[in-house]
Amino acid sequence: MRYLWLLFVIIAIASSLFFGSVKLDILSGDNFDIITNLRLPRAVFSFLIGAMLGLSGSVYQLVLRNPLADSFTTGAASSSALGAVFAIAAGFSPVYVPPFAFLTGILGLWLVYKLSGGAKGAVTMILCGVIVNIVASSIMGFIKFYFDESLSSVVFWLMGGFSYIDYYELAIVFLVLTAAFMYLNGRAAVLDMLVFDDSTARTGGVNIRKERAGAFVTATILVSVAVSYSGLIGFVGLIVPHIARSIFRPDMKTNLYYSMIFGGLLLLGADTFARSAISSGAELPVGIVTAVIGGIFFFYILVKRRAEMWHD
Amino acid sequence: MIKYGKIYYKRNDFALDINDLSIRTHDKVAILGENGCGKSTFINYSCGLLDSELNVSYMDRPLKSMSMEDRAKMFALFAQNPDVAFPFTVFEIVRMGRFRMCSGKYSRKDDEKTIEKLTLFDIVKYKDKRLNELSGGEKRRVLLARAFNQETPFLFLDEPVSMLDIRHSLEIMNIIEDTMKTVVATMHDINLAMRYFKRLIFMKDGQILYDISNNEVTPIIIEEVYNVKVSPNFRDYSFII
Repeated sequence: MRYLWLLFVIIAIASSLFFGSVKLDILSGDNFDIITNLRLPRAVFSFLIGAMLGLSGSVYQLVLRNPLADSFTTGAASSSALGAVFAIAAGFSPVYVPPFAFLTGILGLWLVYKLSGGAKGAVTMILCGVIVNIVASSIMGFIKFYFDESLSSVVFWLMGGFSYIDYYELAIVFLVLTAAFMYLNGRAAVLDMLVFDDSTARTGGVNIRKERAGAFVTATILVSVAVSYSGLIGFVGLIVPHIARSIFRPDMKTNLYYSMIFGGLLLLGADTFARSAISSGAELPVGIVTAVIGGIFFFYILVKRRAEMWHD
Repeated sequence: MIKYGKIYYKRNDFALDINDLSIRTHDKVAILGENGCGKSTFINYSCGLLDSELNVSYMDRPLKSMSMEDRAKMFALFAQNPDVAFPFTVFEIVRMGRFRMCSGKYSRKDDEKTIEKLTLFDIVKYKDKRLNELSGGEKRRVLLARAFNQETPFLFLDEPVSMLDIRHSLEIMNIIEDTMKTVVATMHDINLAMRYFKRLIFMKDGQILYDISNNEVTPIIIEEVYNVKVSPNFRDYSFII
């Protein structure tokens, strides 16, 4: 079943190569360069970024025991973006952008987690996340204003999307995703125990502090790398784990895998649509597309399969 | 045997304050007292869940020197408001009680033991249902079964029969009576506690007021603990299964 989905991913990536701002005969040798150096890396890249966001959402929802948690509502994405914006605006080499994003991302998440009293108050946590979002956005506004000269690169980056990707960046993203998935997948059985309240989980033999910290750091690495390379893309991490949970078993071994696959497919589909929807060659921002596709599907799931999704 | 040294745990205007207490192996101990008297705090202290000094030892092993795994092998807890965040099935939840034995790699033996517990707690018919489909009392039985499935020599139960109907309360009490485990349970139903527990500890304001056997309980003691008038009323029904 798992391999079947992997096969489906390959088919999806392959078929996305047919779409683009210009009509191409992809079997003709003349267009080989466009396919291998533009469309293929971009298709793979959008899949990988989506997979990262989906995986991180699955982790955040479990560890915070909160159906509304994802990289946005926890404040992790916007605080990661803050670090990335600073690094870009201050003129650091692109290599340093992800580490900066991770540092501010984990700081933002830690702040939200501490202010809301841990995983106890679901609503309080979202409230804190929203506040961190607002503060981070205003500081980003200030940075844009202050570092006037490098403004264009920041604006370009903030809009999100995957316009030009080389194979080196692709390799980094692939390695980060693989490492994170291996770690989380290896700990899936322990992570399952975090569905219990703290007292039950702790007396059941789980070091919840250590387990939460490991999961938080891993998820935030995923978010900060995704944000560093593609800007802010919302909705994927929030809806995808719910979809996976409603179709398959809720255990983490299953949920981590399918959140990753569905996240990737969602973003691949959204990006394919974004770059081929307007025939003149202009592109839609991919974040808008994910929000629309994701939102509609989320409503569908909410109405049809409420009971399987989450119980309250 | 559980041996407590001096316990002093202060939180806002409440303090748990207990001197030297020990609970023998295979004892069945009920903790009673009004709301907020420190019953749950005592249970949580015993399980090492409070940020405090841990002046307690299990079978001569100090709790603070025990790892999470060792603790999970020594005692299990049925928390007062147990909660499961995802729609796992009843079978899976009860099986997760065996996490500490296999680190989550559940074998066929774990499955068999789980079915045993489901049968014991009369929930085998809900095996494949999700927890959110069950009533409050049924959920409690599922999480009690989980605690029993941890197969520890010591068991802490925080209000095991609250929210349960009479028949299921009695069934749970019978299970507690029959088990070889050492059981420490907080109780609100005094009659039930007197019938099923040999030793009763009455608490008030974080301190132990009486530590007596069940046939030593008198109306005067209950009046003092709960601040109520007690009359042995012959028109009350009593229930037996």
